Amino acid sequence: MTTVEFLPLAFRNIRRNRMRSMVTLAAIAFGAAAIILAGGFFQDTFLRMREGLIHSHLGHIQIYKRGYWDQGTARPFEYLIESPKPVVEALGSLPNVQLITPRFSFSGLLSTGENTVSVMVQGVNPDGEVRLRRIEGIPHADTGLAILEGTDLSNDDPFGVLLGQGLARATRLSVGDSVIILTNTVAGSLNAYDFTVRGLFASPSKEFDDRGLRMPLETAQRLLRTEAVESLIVLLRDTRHTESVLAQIHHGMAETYGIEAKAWHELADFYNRVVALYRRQFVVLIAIIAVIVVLSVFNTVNMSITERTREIGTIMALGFRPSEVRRLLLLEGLLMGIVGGVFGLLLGTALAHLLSIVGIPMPPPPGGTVEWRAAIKVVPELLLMAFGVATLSAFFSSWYPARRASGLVIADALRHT
Amino acid sequence: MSLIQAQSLKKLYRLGKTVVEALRGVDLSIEEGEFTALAGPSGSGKTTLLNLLGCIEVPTEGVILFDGIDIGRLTASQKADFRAENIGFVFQTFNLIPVLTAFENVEFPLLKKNLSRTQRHKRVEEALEAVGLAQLGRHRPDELSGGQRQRVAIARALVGRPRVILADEPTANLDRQTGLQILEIMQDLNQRYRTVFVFSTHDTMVMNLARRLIHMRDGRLIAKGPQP
Repeated sequence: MTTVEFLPLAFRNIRRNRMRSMVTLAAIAFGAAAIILAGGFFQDTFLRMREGLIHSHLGHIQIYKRGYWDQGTARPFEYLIESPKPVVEALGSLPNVQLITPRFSFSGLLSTGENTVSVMVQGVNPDGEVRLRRIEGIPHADTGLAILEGTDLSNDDPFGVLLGQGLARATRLSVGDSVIILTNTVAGSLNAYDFTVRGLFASPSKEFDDRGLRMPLETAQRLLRTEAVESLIVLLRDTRHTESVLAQIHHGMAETYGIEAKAWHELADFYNRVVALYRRQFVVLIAIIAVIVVLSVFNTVNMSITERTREIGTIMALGFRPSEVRRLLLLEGLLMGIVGGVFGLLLGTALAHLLSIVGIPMPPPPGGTVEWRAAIKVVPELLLMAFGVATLSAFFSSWYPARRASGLVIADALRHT
Repeated sequence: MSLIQAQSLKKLYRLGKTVVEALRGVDLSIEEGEFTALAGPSGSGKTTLLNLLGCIEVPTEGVILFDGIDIGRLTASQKADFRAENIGFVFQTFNLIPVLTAFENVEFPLLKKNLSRTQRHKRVEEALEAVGLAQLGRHRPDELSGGQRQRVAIARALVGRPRVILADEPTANLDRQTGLQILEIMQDLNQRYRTVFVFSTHDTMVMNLARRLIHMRDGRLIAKGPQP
C-alpha cells in the first residue's frame, strides 16, 4: 500500500467536515501569513538599517592605510593615504564598483562664540556624497542622509558646513549662523577657520547626528594642512557584491598599495546587535505560531479520529496494518498543512504587497532620529520557512492522534458509538 | 484437517470492577465450504466468537488454529496481513466508508494487495456484479438503501477472495424481504466460490437457511449442529 493510494481518501476525509477543516486551514494559513508579515517586516527593517548606514556614511567598503585599524585610532595622522589617485584608479577598475569617494574624519572644537563643543568632523567630497547617499530600489526610502534644512555642501562654498540635527539643537545653531572650527593640523599645530552653517542633516545614526559635522574635503585638507586623505569610501552596485569585491581588494591590491579594507558589516556593530536581537525575537514568534498551529490541527485531527473510531476499526479489520492507518492519518495532517501553507503564502504575499504599497509609519529606529515608513520584504527563504512551519506543525500535531488511533483494539473500535 | 479449529476459547471483559465472561470455553471446528449460523440471544457470545475467529480480538485463554496456524501468536501487523488474505467481514451496521463511492468501498481492501489498477477494477466489477449492484458503483453509501449498502459490504468482503467471510448479524438492520435477499446472495456466493460463511443471527428465518446451525447461550455452545 503506497501513500499515494491513500491520497484520495485523505483528501475526502479533510472535506468531510468542511467547516471544521476550513477553520483549521484558516489557522494554518494565518500562521504562515503571520510569519511572512513579521519576517518580512524584520527583513525590511534590516534592509533599511543596512542601506541607511551604507548610504549615509559607511559605504560598502572603507579603505585605509595599512595599520590604521590597529594603530590609527591613537595616531590617525600617521596612517593617511598620501597618494589616493592610483588607489582610486585601481579600485575603479574592479567589477561592480560604482563610486569611490575620499574622506577625512577628525576631531575638532566648534565654537559659537557663546560655547564650545567637541565635534566629529568629516571632510567629504560633496558630489561623491550626493551619489553615495542615493538609495534605489527600496520603497519609501530614497536617501541615506537627509538634508532637513538649508542646502547641501558645495565646492563653490568651501566654508559652508552641514551640522547633524542633534548637534544643531545642542548648540542652538541654525542655517546661516557662523561658527569657528578649531583643530590640530597634521603637523600638530592649531588651526581654525570661520564657517557658515549651510544646512542640517539627519542620518540613521543618532550618535553621528549629535556630534557630526561635514565640510568640503578640500577645506578640511587646508584646515589640517595636508593633501592626504584618511579613507576612501567604496560604493558598490549592490550590497551582495561586498564579499567578492572585498576579497579582490585583500588579495590583489592590499599589498601593492599598502592599504587595508573593511566591509560595512565590520563597522556596523550596532546594526549587527539589532539584527541578532530581532532574529531571536523572530525565532520566539515562530515558536508561538507553531504552537498555535499544532494545537489547532491537533484538535481537529483528534476530533475527526474520535468521530471515525468505528471506521478506523473497520479499515483495520479489512486488513490494514496499524502503521498504514497511522500513515493515512498523518497524511491527512500533512495535506492540511500543505493546503493551509499554500493559502498562507498567498495571503501573506498579498498582504505584504499591500502593506508595502501603503507603507507602515514607524518611529525612529533604535539609535536613529528620523521617522520612516516600513514595508514588508518577502524573500524566498521566508516563504520556505512559513510553508515549512505550516506543514511540519500540521504533520507533527497529527502524530499523537494517529498513534492513538492505530493502537486501538479493533473490536473495541467497532463497538464505538 | 478443519480449516478453523478453536480450542477452549475463553474471553473475559473487565468493566470497572466487574468481570464479564463472554466466552466460557468454546471448542469449535469449521470446515471448508461451510455456511454456518451462530444463533443465540443477545449477550450469548456470538459477536465475541466471530471477533476471535476474525482475529480482531484476542482470547483470554484458548487457541485458534487457522489452517494449522496459531493466529494468537501473530504480531499486530501479521494479523492484519492474515485478515487481508483470509478473512472478509460483513457488519450489522454495514460500516462502509461514507466518503467513498460503492465502487471505491469495494476496491479499498484491494489496495492492500499487489494488483494493478486494471486488475483491481476488474475484480470490483465482478464483486459488484455478484451482489447485483453493477449499476450503482458510483453512488455514495448515503445514496443507497440499507439492503444495497449491505450488498456493497458483502462485495467488499468478497473482493479479496478470502477463505472465510464472517458476518455479524448481517440482516438485523434490514427488513425481512431484504434480509432474505442478502442471505440468498451469501448462499449463492458460498456455493459458487466455496467461500466459508459464518454469521451470527437471532432470526429464525436466517437460521433456517443455514446449512449448519450452532446454538450459543451464556458464552457456551449448546448445540453445534451437524457439519456438512
